[in-house]
Amino acid sequence: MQAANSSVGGPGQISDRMRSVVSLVLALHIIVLFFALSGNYFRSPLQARILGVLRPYAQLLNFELDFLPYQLTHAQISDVDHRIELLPTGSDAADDSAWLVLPDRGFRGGERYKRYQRLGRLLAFLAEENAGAGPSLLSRSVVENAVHQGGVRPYQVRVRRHLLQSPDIFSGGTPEQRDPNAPTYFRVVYAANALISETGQVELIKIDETAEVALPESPQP
Amino acid sequence: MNAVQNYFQRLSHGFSSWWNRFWFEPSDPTTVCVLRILAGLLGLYYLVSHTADLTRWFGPHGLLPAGVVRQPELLGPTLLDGAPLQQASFHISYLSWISDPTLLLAVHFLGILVLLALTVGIFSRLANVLSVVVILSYVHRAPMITGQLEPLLTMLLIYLCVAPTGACLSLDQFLAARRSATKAPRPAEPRWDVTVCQRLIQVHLAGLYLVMGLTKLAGDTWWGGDAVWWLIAHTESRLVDLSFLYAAPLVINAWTHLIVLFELAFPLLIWNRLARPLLLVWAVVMWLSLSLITGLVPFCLSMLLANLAFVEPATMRRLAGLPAADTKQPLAEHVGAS
Repeated sequence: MQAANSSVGGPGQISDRMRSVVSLVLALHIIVLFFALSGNYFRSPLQARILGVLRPYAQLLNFELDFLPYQLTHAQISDVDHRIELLPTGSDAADDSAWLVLPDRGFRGGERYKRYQRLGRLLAFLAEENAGAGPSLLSRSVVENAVHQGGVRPYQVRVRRHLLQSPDIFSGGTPEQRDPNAPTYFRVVYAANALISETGQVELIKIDETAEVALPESPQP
Repeated sequence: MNAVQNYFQRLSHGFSSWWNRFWFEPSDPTTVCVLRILAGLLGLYYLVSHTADLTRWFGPHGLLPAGVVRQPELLGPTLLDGAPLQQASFHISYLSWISDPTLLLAVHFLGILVLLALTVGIFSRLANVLSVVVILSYVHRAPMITGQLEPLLTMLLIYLCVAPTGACLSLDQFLAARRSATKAPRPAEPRWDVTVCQRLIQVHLAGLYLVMGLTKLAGDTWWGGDAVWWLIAHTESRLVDLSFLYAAPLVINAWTHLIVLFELAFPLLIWNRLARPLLLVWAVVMWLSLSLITGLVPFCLSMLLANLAFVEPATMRRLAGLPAADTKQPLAEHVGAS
């Protein structure tokens, strides 16, 4: 980069040589930034390849956004709230209040609470994508955590999706339709029975019937 | 032929002149010093929000054991056109090697001390670099439970490493003044690296706003004007129940369109000196209202924090109660000229 005005040597000024080096670094960084930001929502195979090459820099420094939902919502099924639920041994599965719910702690507007929601969303996403061992690995960790840290022996784990109410419900719906916590607004996305050994080791058996019910659908009832 | 040559000569000269003014004109460090304090506080919040659940997430039999997190299925993006992406992962974190609860807590509190040092401005340069390492370690330990906040926080901390953020409003400055003969704090001098730092934050933020605006337009709800309703309808996330707005669909439409308009206008108009104050005030209203309906309070506050990079150092000095600096020309003047 050619200096337009020779401003070298003054306090707080940059020398020409240094300016050339920094300019080069800045230009390269801006190129990385372009690919890292523009590839957040969709990425072409070319973008994906370039990002793969830039990954040692962009991912390490967390410039790569990795499909974060900066659009906040598209009212897609993946945009709604998700919760992970555990049913302690001896409880009635039909009794909603018997299920232990994650997130179970933290201020709703805080990061602590949101992390549990994101775990639920991830589990739901992996279950629907049939992403190999992902769902069982995660849900087994959840059950093991409940056994070893929470002192609970769950015999079932599930992920439920909390569907959204359309505005029409409020103007013309029944009282039950207007209740956002009515059973009709929940869908089980993933469920598994937990077998816990004497030593606390967990085996999961996926409940297939539930998965068949959990078809993708519009959040509008 | 000469005309073409002349054109490219003028283009090259004009661009390099603009580039040098944009990136290297020395500027007052007050704005980046304020950003250091606020980013430090945000980082502190981020770490403290992990404290109570540290063992639950990362401890033995935690929700996300290191072995599970390293599984390729969990380290998205995993699929592209149906084919798995065979790419190496660079999620490197010192927390991945620690599972003992006591050690985990000890390291966690050391991290909090580092962020505290950055916030108060003691050994600012070192504290800044260490803060980046600390926060990135939490991000990379469990990237699947990170959200919109983390990229902003790490971006701020990384760029602040470029500038002397302890030059003012810091313990470093206070201690240097005590050691000096006059016992008075030395006024911070304008520096080129301050400009580079501030510009990097500005450019990155403008890019992020553009991404936010464009990705919104990829869905029907933001075009259709009802996206805000679908945010309000998240009963497990929202902080306030505004579902009574079902009766005012035009308000929902206007709110939705204003958000998109703002996010598309910001990266273009924020460089204009006259439009800037308007956009910054608009940002306050927009992010605070969004935090209420989405429950993404830390993210919305971090956006407001990052917006401060566009506040002129002279204005920031007034807001921080500092005497006016003897600077040549405030950074924003050059921006406004573009």
